[in-house]
Amino acid sequence: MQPLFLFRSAEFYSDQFVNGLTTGSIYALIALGYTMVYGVLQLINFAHGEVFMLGAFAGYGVLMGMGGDDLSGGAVALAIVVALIAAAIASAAVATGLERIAYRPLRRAPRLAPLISAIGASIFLSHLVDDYFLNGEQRFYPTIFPTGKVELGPVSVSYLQLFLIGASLAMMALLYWLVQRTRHGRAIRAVAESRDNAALMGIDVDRAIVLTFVLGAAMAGFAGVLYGLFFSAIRGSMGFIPGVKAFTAAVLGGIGSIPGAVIGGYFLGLTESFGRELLNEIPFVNLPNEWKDVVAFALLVLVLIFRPTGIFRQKEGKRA
Amino acid sequence: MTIKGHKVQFVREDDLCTAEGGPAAADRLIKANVVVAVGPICSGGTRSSLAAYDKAGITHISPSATAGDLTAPSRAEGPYPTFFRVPVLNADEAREQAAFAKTTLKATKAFVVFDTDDYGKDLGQQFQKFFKDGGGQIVGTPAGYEKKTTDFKSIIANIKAAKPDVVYMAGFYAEATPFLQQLRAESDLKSVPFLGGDGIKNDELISGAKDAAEGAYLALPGTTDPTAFAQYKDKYKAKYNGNAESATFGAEAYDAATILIKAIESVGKDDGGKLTIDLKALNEAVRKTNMTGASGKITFAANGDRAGAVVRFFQVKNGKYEEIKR
Repeated sequence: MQPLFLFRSAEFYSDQFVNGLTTGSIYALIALGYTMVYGVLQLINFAHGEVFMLGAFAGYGVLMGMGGDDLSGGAVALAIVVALIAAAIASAAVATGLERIAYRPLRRAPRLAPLISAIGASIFLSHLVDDYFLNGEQRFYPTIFPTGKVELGPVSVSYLQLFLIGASLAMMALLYWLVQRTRHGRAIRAVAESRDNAALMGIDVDRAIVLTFVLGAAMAGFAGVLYGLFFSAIRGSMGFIPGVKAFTAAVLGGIGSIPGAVIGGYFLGLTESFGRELLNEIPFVNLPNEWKDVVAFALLVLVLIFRPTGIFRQKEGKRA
Repeated sequence: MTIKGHKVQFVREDDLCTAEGGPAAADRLIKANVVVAVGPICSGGTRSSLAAYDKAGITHISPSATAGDLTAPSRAEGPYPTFFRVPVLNADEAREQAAFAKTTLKATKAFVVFDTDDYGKDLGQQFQKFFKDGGGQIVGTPAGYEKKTTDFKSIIANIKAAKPDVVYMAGFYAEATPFLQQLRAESDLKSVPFLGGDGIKNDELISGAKDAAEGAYLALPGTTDPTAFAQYKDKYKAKYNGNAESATFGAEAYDAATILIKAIESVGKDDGGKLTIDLKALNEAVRKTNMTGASGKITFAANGDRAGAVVRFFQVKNGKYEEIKR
């Protein structure tokens, strides 16, 4: 099937579309942690990529412990669920520790101090895993997910991609419900609006901040396992690039906004997989693969020129 | 150590592996009246000192300088006759890989994926050149990726659209492992042959990619002659109490020195208690080298490159590398 105006097949573009949704889901899940923490603390938690990485390793440990490549049938589903939960718990524990050790003592310090602390924590964690535990090697997730795909016309989606996209959406919906509909979520939103006023209303500000870190980290932990299942190779430095991309997605969506982070994540995922390919349809344009990010980030700069506060504009004092 | 009863004197100079240090080290060696030299080690230092050695007529053999232009300098006279080198070059590997893709795999359309570092870029380009020269076609746009990339899905969508007969990868096993896993997860690309090089042929590839590594073809240049290498390894252990395998280019350096010593032995003339060495004749003797050294069989091409480099091919079968007889 050949679309009228494009040189390459509809199948090719639907493949790229599904790829964009897949990476977009992972960016979106990680971006949520950036945006929520920024919402309550106005802090860019640069160590969030490492929280994602440690979640991936926790999930890996669980999968290998439960049988690794020998898993089959119903045990696979059980193992993946346990891995996701373990990753969320591990990531949440790391993020809580980070908040306690690296950020809370600096809460009244000038804004650059916690940022430097975050960068330090990020470098420490990625090197701890890479150089101390793994000696620069990588680990590979067991390939246990059932293979096969669903075909709808030119669109073909593997079971794994379907699971990844579906699970991400479900987790994001859960997070949205927690923040919007529960008492704890209300506490987070109140602290985001004004820390002092929230304290005057009897809200435990420290607890709300920790909860923000925990929720964001749990999403990153989920993302870590999904990433491992899909891309298979994990290493200590794996959080850096997705972390930067997810941070970008959060800025693009309007930092502090939860729907913004999700939209930003998908937007970035899709521009990465489509941007270069569409430009290559122009006669005499043939950008190699290395230009993928250049095109995506050029588009991002364009968006920010016209909407400096991101797609979802946040009014001051109404974040999270 | 003596040659025809004369003691061999060793002079050592350090060029710091830089282009600036190359001519300075060459100058010091020439002033010390050396007759031959092993080195330089690095391509940068070699490039800048080729002319100095040539002017002095000193034959030198580098064990490790691999840049393509060293034996194809941009000067009218052509390659420097005083320069030889032992390492197997990317070009040798790529030439054999292209021939293997064409004759053994019967491929006419190749898709190229490469690491964007010097090694991957050069090997990838050389392969494209040789494959096209052999009548093959490069389909799609060769796709570069950076080290530590794990997401190859976008490249794989391009491979799927290009419908190649062989997927060629110039890079390292760390990235080839997730690449192969993602390639084989795509049902349309389950059986397209995968061809890689020395950077990818590693046991980690099999232990990491497992089933996805099955059937992959890998080239390994610079084969070592098992017995000659074992002898060298024993000597190395006896002398330095270390493992010869961990000394990169060690076998090549040992061979370079051996070639030069043998050449001196063959042309040196005892002249009333003095050993006279004709530098021209010495150069000719090196040029005619034909020996099996620690790094395998060595002969030199007209431009000073190692000729007849053996490139062996392997296929992953049941979790092991099996050599393919061609």
